Amino acid sequence: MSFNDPQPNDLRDKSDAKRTHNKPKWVMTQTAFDKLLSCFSLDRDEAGRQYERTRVRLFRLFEWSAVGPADELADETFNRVARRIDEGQKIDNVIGYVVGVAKIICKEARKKHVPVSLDDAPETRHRITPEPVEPDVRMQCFDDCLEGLSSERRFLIVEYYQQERRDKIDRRQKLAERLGIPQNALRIRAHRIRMALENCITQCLEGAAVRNE
Amino acid sequence: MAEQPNREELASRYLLGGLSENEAMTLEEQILSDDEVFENLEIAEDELIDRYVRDDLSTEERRRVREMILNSPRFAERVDIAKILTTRIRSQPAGAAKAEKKKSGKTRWWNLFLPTPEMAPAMRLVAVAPLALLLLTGVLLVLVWTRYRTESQRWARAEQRLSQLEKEIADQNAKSSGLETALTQTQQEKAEQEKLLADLQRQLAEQRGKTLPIFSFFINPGVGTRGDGGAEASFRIPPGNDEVELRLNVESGDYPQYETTLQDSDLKPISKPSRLKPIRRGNRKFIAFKVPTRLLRPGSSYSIHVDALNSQQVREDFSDYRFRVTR
Repeated sequence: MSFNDPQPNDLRDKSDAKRTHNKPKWVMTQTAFDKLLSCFSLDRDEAGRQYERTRVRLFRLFEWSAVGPADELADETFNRVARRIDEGQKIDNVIGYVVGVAKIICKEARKKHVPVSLDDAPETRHRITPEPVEPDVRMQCFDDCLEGLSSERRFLIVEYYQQERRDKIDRRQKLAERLGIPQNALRIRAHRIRMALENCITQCLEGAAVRNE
Repeated sequence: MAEQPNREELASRYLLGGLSENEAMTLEEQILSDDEVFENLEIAEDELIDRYVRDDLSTEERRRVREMILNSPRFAERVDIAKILTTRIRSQPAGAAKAEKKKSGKTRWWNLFLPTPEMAPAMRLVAVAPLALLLLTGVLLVLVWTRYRTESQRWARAEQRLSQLEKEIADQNAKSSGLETALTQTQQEKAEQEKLLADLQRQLAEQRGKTLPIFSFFINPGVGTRGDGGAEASFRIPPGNDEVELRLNVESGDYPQYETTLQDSDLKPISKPSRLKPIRRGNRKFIAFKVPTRLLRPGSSYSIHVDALNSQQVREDFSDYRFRVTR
């Protein structure tokens, strides 16, 4: 963050000021979007890929900050960055600039954000406690997707999440040794299998929802 | 590897809001630009969700996770799936044996050759060895069979070619045999012709041998040579002749054979009598009486007495032929 960092005063939401002066709210134009893309790469396709990757990860940053709807905050971030570029701001490190703008937007959102009490939260300690559940669509989708994995991947994911807290470290260590891979590789491999499993379950549930409709 | 726990801890602290603003900004920039860091955060998210589902968080940490759930449908969905994951996997027997046993009823025969997931890598190599051997044998068999088929086809082509060549050779032999027969016949004909030619040449040579060295004179009866009415014929014998042929005119006679005797000037016989058949050449008829030149001396006169022999071999006095040998 040593260069081209956005200054908080420049990038704060000026909607109130705009309204005071009756200026129209800035909207993303094709020209502004093209200028934004050109900051990622001069190659249009590569710029598009980098933009999409940055947007997905920015969305995730806002999810983890938990200060508001992640998609709206991500869009607002890009709008402000594009606006500054459209206004002639020279940016050498677009990623650093985006992070800086996102941080400002995050602060603004946090000010507006009202923390949720435990009682108002949608999940309670009792509900999340694992307990026997009657087979439903989610269970069926989970079982089907688990069965759909290769035997090796199924073995790994079941073994990885099988253990209880106390012996978790020891058992994962043994599992890594048995598979002949470092523990971190095991961790990454389990994560990727889990992502594939969750994607499968999500698609399965979407399919079930369509059938019910 | 020493950096890894630190990175895991850093990611976990980030998700729970435990980093300073500077630390968080540095990490966020890395999250946006570095795939490995981003994946590490996703793994940290997995583990945070698992800890939430297992009720392994402090009150403040739980509050933060719940805020994430409230603000992100994706996160809420992940928590739901994590609960199912925990429930279903815990219900499975240890070692994932059940998952495999559930499928054991459907185990295919080829799985007997495949390594099981729980095997160590070294053991997997051992387990997969028979399958590899089987595959290798199969590949070798296919290669051998392919080679055999190729060789068979080539052999069949060669045999066909050989048969064709043999047929061509037989045809050529037949043609050659015909030509040989023709050649033999031609050679025989040639030999016969050569033989005939040789005979002719020999006859010609004989003829030449007989005629060329002999010097001949024509003598009429009772007169000289050429029958021109002279008292006595005269001639010179060229040197180098061993014999001289005296052609005695017998046109007036009609006898099949004559007997001639050479006599000196005193009419004394100086040669033995010779029996000769008459020769007709053109309008002339004569007998060829050959006399050795050693009997004739230049400057001397001689007489040839001729008796005619009729068909009963009865002798009749026919005529005398006189001549002189000049120097």
